[in-house]
Amino acid sequence: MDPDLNIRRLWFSCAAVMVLTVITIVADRAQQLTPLRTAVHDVLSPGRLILLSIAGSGGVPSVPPGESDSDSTGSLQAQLARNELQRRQFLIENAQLRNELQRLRAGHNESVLPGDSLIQFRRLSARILSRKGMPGKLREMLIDVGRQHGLRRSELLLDETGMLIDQGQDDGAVAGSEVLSGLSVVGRISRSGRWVSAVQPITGEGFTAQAQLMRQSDLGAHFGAKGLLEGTGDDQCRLVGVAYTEPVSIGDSVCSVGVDGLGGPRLYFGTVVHAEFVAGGEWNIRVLPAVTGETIDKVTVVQANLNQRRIESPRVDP
Amino acid sequence: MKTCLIVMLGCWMAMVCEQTRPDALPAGSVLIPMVAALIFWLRNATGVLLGGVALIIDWIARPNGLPLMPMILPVAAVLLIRQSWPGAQFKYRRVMMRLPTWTQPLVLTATAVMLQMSSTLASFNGSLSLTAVADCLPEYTVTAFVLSAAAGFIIQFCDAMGIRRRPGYV
Repeated sequence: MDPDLNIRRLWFSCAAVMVLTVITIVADRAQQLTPLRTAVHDVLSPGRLILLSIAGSGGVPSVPPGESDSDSTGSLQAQLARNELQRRQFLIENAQLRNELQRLRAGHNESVLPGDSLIQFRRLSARILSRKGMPGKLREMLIDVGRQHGLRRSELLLDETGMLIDQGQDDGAVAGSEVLSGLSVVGRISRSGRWVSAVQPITGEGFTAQAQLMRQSDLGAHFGAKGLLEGTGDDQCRLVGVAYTEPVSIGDSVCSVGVDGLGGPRLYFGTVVHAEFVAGGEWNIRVLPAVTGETIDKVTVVQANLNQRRIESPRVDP
Repeated sequence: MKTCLIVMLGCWMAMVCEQTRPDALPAGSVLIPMVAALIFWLRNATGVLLGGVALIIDWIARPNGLPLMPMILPVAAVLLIRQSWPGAQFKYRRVMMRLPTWTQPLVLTATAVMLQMSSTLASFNGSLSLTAVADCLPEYTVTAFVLSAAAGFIIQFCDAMGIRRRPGYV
């Protein structure tokens, strides 16, 4: 075999892959890849469901005792199907958000001053210790450690009933910080102890955050009306403050308006699952969260900090 | 044909595993070694084409920035493969250092991981990007590099035993 001929074939195949890649990029920019993307996920779904069922059968059963085998199998299958649909929707939304970001960057005003941003967003990884408050075993362990470190009686442990993560004030986690899974908002730190913090989920009563609709059109994704996302205490949230004159559709995405009101990356809350007119000239919008604490083990705490380099740099007089 | 079917099944399983356990297996940590093993097992145009198509399909399923891996990895693979052609070793001996066979999948995987990190850096802004890269680098090290090194050793062993077909056939 002539090695030069083989090398030419190699470069030809390399060129073919590059051409296919360019075609893929162009098709993605033209929003033509969505059916193909759905087909790819359909092909991958059987394998994922098999692996999930194998992993689920080998782990701790999540069905409470007392339910029959057929009920538990049916509920697990329904939950798997829901999770799969939610995950695929999230992937597609992610791709659309990315396209929107690229379009916004391309049209960015060049008169913005270059240099470091004054506000930086610090990310802190955390693990979920408990989803239903402080377990007794952990409470005992923390009390013992607290005694050794000379904590006073007034420095009580957190006594929350919600999600608990393994980062506290010693690690820089403070109350009011957003808690994310990827770019989806899981909740907000409600109270922060020395080593652990309690997280209020976005569906929890009392949770509020500024939110904005993101709607799909033939021209792509674009931002819609702003409102206030509130937790309802059940498994959904509601978006209030959206006037009846604003367009709303089931399936619209709901994302944040910055982080703590300071700009920053847009975070994803969930999808509109119910929208109807109510008295008072507003929409009654229900939002299904993208991520719940039941399906994740790790989260990220986001905090806004001042850029020390900007603060400490010498002042330059004009 | 049989080899291509086995390879396609392997790439499908790699994508399935990564999407089922995104917490333990970052994007590409199983697929990249699989593609590297495929390319260096076949060492011909078919292997490069199949590997590139697998990377494109993975990017379609999980788009993340520009598809740098399908664009750059085939070029790196061809540069590594051509130095190992039986008739080409004298022509290219002075041009580049000849890497041992078992290191070639590792070099390709390292290139792919660097491309993946650059996509991650471009997706986030500010300090989020560096922490995102630092979070997944240990998992890449444990999974992708180990699998690539194992693939390299297996390929070299098969070459020594005469199990693998000699390179030069398309």
